[in-house]
Amino acid sequence: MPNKDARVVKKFGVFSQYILPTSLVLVIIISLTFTWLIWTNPAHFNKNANENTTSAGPAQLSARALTDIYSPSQIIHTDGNQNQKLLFDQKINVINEVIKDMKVWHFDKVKPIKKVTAKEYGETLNQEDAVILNYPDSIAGGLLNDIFNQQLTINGNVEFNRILVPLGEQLDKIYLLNDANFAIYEIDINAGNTNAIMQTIKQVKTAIPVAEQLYHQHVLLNYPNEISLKQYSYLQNKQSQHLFLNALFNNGSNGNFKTRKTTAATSYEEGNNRRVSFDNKTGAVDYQSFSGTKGGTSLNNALRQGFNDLLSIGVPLDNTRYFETNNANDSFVYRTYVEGFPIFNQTRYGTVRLSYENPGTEHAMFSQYSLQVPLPNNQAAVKLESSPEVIQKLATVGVGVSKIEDMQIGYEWQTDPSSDMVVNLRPVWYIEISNKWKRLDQWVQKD
Amino acid sequence: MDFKRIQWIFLLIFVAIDVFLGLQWYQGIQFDTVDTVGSTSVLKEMQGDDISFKRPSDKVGEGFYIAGQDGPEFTAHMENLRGLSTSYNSSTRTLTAQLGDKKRFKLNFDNPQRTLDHFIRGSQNVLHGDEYVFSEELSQMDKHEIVYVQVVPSGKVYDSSGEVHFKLDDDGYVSGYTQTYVSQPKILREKTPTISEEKALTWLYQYNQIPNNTTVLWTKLAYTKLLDVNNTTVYVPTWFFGLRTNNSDNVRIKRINAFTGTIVKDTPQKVNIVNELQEKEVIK
Repeated sequence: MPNKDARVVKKFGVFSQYILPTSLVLVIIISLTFTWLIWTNPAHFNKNANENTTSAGPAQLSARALTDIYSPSQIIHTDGNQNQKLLFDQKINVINEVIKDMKVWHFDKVKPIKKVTAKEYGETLNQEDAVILNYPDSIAGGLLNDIFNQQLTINGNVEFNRILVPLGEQLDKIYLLNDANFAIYEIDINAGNTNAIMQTIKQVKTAIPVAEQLYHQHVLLNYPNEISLKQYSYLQNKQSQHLFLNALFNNGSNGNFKTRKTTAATSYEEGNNRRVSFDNKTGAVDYQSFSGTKGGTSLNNALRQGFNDLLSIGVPLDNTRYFETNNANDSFVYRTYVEGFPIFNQTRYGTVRLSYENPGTEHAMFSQYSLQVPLPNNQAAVKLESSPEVIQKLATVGVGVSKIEDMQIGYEWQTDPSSDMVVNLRPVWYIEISNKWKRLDQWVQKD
Repeated sequence: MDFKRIQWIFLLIFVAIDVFLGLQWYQGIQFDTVDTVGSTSVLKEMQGDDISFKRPSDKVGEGFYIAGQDGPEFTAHMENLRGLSTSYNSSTRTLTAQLGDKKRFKLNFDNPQRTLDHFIRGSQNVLHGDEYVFSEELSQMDKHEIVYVQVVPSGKVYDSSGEVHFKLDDDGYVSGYTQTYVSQPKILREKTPTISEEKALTWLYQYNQIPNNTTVLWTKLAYTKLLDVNNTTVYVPTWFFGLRTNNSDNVRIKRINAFTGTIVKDTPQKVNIVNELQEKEVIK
């Protein structure tokens, strides 16, 4: 018996001699695998990120998404006779509908078309039977994937401000166009047809005749006839300084900032890193941060960073769109849109201007005032000159068409003289000359 | 022998670690399928607080600002009504109608709309009755009331300014109704995206508006009064949540502005800019 026992022990010894170390190695490997899985699983990082926002309160959350801010601002339809019409409908968000129709397509490959002359560019822009989605200024190709739900590999240097969709029988290509350098890119389309877009266009009630016209080195959207547009009124909202301080100074957690008050302005400084000043009269806010690690390397990254900064400032982003960038791609203007047209004069720059001119710095300019709720009003429509008349008028004061960088119909923000709660929006021509937007009458008056 | 014991201890410890890590990992992937980053963990947090709800949709909707008048204009043709005694309260802007004895009728509680749909469409019974539809959610609020809501362009009004409340007596007979009406509802501005049901629900929770131990009975996107200006009221698309705490029978309604994501207050903002707007019109 003892012999037998000893044999069992001995057998077991042999057994455990190999099994125990092996299983030990096994469980260690399993634990390492799990550790790796957990570390690489993005859900865990999101969880952490979200816990931060939860503690910061819902103010950090936004009702608007990246794709709302970087949505095209105009849609133009070219018919079989090359007549172009600007589409708008109060009951259908035409641009959103067309984007929805395109999301089901599969974007396959993007490649540049070589050596496009200005003339060819103009011809492409006016090609018959097409829909053009316009941006007011170039955006990064990388945003295309966000807007249309695609997984297209796009070179970082691709920029565009128009998307052209031919509405011919067979859909196999769409085009990205960039006015800034007359670049055209073609994208192969799989499994797509234009029936849904045609349906959407058919329902649209308002179609204003326009023409995309090439003047020397730039393209202007021409309104051949005078047009009349409604005026609007809004209830104005003034966000408190406290609210912005909370958002900008990391929740004001240490409350450790210097305050300086004069009759003209109130400014707050947090160490040497952040400074914000409020204009007591106009409600204009100027915020500077020197602590960032942001290296706005590409336009794509800069625009994404811009969206995050818009959120963290805490201004309402309803109907706010990306409007323009400067030549260096380090300063960005966002404007609020009403019924398809941008609003000017909210501040000197737009709704928000973000600059990242020096690495690691952020400079934001915006306003405490924003549009809150539309008010019914019975004010008469305003008639605006046709584009040829505008160009003519500018010519009489010595501004040739080649000097006009851009011209747009916009709504001018006017605080109601009798009530500081009401903002009136009046349609008027805005002209950009040497990087400055001014009303037509301001340019004409000048000389 | 000692070394072997150490090996055993290590084995046990690592098995325990594996189980723990496995659980962590499993919880991590559980909500991985949903793309909205923030909301998922908030929803998990809500489940942890014993708040029960149906999985909310993360689709964004679209809606308008709508303006209308909720004054007495709709009562202009009161003479069309038959067999009712009516009175109009101009401060609450409510028409109250008592049904004459002959006109009273019994309701089937399980299916009140079958009888009432017919009744409300009769022009001798209810003014503009064909513009109202039955609301199951609001009718659950009070045993003695069946609620119909007004239909406006692209939605329904879930607001006391556009509803018909039928009063029921204890025997289930309809004894009368109160009516409010939004005249000439019209679209104020272009179609604008609204926030998703998921966002609205999680934000409501983050505003501390959903107590622990609560059931979210129903969710609805409808119009609510935002602002009184002039004689006009402005309506905004709103997410409605019917909440019931598990230890009571009361259903409470919470509202989130579907454009801005803020809480809609119980009393709408009143703005007095009437004079200015009118003056301007005179000048122009």
